[in-house]
Amino acid sequence: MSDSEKHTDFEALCAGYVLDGLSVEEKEAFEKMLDDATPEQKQIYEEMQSVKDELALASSPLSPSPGLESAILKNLPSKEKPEPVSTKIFGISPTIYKAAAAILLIVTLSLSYVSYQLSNTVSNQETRLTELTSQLEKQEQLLDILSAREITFVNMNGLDPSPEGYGKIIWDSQRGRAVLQLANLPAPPPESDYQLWLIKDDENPISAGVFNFNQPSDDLFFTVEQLNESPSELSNTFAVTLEPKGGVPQPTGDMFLAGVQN
Amino acid sequence: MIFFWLTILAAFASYSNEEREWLKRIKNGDKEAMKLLYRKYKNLLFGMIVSILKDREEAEDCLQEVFTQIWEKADYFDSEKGRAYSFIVTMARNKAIDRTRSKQFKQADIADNTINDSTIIPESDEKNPHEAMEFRERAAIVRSALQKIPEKERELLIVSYYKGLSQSQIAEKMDIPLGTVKYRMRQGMIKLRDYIVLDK
Repeated sequence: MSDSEKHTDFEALCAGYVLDGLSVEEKEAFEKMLDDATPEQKQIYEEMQSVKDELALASSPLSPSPGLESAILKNLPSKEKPEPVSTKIFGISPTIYKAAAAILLIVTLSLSYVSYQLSNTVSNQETRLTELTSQLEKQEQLLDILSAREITFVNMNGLDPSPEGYGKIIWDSQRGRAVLQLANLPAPPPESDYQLWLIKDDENPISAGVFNFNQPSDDLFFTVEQLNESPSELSNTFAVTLEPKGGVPQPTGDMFLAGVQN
Repeated sequence: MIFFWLTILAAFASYSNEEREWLKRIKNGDKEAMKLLYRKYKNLLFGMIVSILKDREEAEDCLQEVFTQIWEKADYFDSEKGRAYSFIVTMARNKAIDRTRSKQFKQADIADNTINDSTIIPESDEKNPHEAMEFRERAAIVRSALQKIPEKERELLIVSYYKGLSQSQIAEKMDIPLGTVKYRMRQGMIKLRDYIVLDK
């Protein structure tokens, strides 16, 4: 279809459309055409609408009965907005329900907040209690070791990797237990542990356990549960080395602390 | 074509503002504005409705319904989208045409095949005392334009507007092919538009 034919088609449908003369299908088709109409076509549509409305002027004007005006004006329905339908429930206004709902919401939110705070507090207290219990157990173990009839006390000094470090061993050799204090040592890397060694005379080092911590401190105490060795009468050397995670049979890493009990 | 719109706008500008204002006041329940609108439009609308219904009593009933609807539907009038005149006239025509489609009316109208009607396109140039001053000039232009277009096209436009018949119903009633109805309707509307522009 050429542009000229399309234009003619638009005009034909437009004339029928403004006069309400089209079939349902034609009406739908024209409304689609109108959606995509050119500015010129839209102008034709508006002009035809205007011409259609002017056709009302083709009839002879006539006067209705004189009484019709007052009848019309008298019977005009009220424009006052109708009273809203009462939505009172059990005689209580919706406003009161809304206010109550708002208060209930605020109370619920407040209680939720308090509950959340209490929950946090309880959780913090539980953590603190666990820490205190752990500290108490350590102190009890320390006191238990200190209460032994014979204990071996060895000071360890910091070596090159950490000269400011120091440590102590309190060894209850009769019961094969000891307490190890580590101070001013850096936290071991994630893949490493500190390992305690006992070196009697010139014998091979004996592992006394591995230790780990996250924060350097001067009051880190560890319990050595199995040090079932008899002290040498000549020399007992304790050393702490940095070893692969879980420890090794014989020391391989840097020595951080060492001390001798003569 | 731009001239056409400028002419239309100029013709309506003087009084469309007051009609818009009346409709605005009617929205707010102002009966005084309703009275002014009624007095301006009553003869035009009543003449048109009588031309459609051919019964004064029925037409008065319809006119009352039209003004009641204008009172109730004034909220729907959007001055940005159309003229107050179109809003009112379209409402009146639709109300009257709806009545012709009622069962009772169809039974009464069944034998009426008239196309020409003395109430439509009066030949006389005498001033009609019932015609509102504002509509007089425009009505003269429209009637003159209708007289200038071919009779067959004029009849078809009048039947379409005043009887509310579809193109296929007109083809059946006038016993002419549907394509001819479409052609005459298109030609008639285009010529009418052009004559109205020329006369203005």
